[in-house]
Amino acid sequence: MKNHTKISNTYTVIIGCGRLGASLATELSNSNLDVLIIDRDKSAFRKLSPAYGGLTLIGDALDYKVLEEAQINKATTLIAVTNNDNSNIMVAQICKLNFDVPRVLLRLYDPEIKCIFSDMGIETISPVTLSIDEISKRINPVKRGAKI
Amino acid sequence: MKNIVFFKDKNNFGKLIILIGILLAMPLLVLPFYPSESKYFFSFFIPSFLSILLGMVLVITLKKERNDLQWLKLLKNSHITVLFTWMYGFVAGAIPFVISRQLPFSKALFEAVSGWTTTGLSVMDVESTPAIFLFHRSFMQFCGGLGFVLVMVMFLQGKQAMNLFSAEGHPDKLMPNLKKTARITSSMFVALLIVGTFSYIVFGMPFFDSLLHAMSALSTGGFSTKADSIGAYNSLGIEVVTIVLMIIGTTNFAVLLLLMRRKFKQLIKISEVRFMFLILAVFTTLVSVLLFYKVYLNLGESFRVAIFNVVSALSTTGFSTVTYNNWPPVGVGLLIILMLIGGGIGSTAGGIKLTRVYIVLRAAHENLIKRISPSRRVSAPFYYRAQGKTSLDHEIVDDTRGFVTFYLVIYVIGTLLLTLSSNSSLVDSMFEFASAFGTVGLSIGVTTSDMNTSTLGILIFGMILGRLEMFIVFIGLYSGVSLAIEKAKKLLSLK
Repeated sequence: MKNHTKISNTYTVIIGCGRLGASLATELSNSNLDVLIIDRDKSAFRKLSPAYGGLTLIGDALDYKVLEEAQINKATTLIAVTNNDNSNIMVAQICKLNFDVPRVLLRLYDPEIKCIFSDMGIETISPVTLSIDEISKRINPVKRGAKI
Repeated sequence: MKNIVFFKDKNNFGKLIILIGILLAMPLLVLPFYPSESKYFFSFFIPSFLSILLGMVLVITLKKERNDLQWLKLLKNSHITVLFTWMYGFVAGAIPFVISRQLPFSKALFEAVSGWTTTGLSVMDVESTPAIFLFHRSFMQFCGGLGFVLVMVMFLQGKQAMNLFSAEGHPDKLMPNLKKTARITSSMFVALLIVGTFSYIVFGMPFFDSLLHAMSALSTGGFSTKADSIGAYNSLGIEVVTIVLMIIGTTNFAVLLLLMRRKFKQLIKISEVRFMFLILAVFTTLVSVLLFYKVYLNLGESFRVAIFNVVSALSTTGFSTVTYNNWPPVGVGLLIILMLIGGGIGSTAGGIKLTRVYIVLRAAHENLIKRISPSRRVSAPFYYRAQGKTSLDHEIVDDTRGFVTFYLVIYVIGTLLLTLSSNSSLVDSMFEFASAFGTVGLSIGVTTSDMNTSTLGILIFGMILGRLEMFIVFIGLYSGVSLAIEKAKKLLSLK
């Protein structure tokens, strides 16, 4: 029961219903978490599994009204996974600075832009870095576990 | 809590049957207050116990729900599950009447279908029915209004819950989590039930009747404890309370939530709410003027009768205060139109639903405008839902048109069949079938305790199609047949 109440207090907002966003939303919703997913394009929600039990919201996440409608101030986690790095960064910064969302994660295609917000407490996930890590681990087993 | 974890990944069909078993046992709670009726204990206990047992067996024996990602399979499975659960509910709900010899099986089935589908057509003589059965009927409506899947999701949420939830015809999600959506819907309902019951008591209705009437008004069911329905009390206060409860019952859950959160600004923008009040205003005026001229009641009384019956028909509740036998055919026609339109989408009501009628009318209007404007004219129509501004695109319009067409085709077929089997006039059949198909429950006299089995069957079929919004029944049957063929092919190829 303790575990249960802890779970129901989290509320995740996902920006961008692409392949990553949609699978993530479905996964979180399947484990009974509160999820809301935002996308500009209505047809993007097609990618959600029919088992998805959370909310969807059509709108541009860079719009304050849309974020307020998503009750972003109640969110415990924000995940920005649109296909545009700059939008991801901007949404993440808005949510971190203006809405005080405790945990903000974003995806970056270009790991080099990371420096612009390195001291803001935003967590980044970059497919490029992850892939480099994984591939070099596989082809060069001696260096296993070494950081690039 | 442990038990719930145990159930989590198990077969949904089994779980739903256990739930039906539990719901069937609820009327037993009435027994302590009516000790003289304890002889009926077993007529509820036996079906309830057997259902729970059957559900347990199914949960243990049937395969686990897999997290299938193939959408067609998901769609088929969820529709079959929902359809069969409801079918089982209908039969199980009828058993208590049969065991206690209150009704023969066909009529018991009619009563149960009328209960679970929140229709409210009745073949029972309510004045002589024991209290426990009256409670059973109203409680069926209350739960039927919410839906089995919604009640189940409240307690446990498996992986397929969302499929089942949308298959049962709940279009709206209110909260970012399905379980919370179900919980908030039912807690709103229970809160309203308590408020409704107390308001009835304030206006002088006995407690038991208040509870039952509040249950059937909120679920837009319409079972009453009196033969003359609400008219038996002849009290303005009770009628006003009923009107308010019926309007609440026919309102979309998402809109109700806005109301509870006191977001009135958003509330008055919603197209469906505006459309509902427009229709109520227009039809109430028409009917009261008509009654004033044709039935020679005085103006105040005409208005009182008109507003009650208009709300009762539009909300698909089916409480009545008067008989329609002395109404002019135009008045009956107006009520038929109201019953066809029906209540709010995503509420407990039936009918085509207000939003769909609104969308079809808007689309027709757009089409008319298109015809008289230059061919390069661009338009981007939109309407307001509880969730906010929504564009009225081709997809929505197409879906809605498809639904309305199917609805009207079935309505015409059903009406003609009913005329054939019951030997009543065409107007009476139109009224009665609109009433059954829209899960309303107003009767013009075709539904009587001595009608023949085919009439019963047509009305039962109409009620089921109406409550489950047709497509579930069709898709469910289609999937059932295609699955059976698949199994048969497998068996043949094994040999």
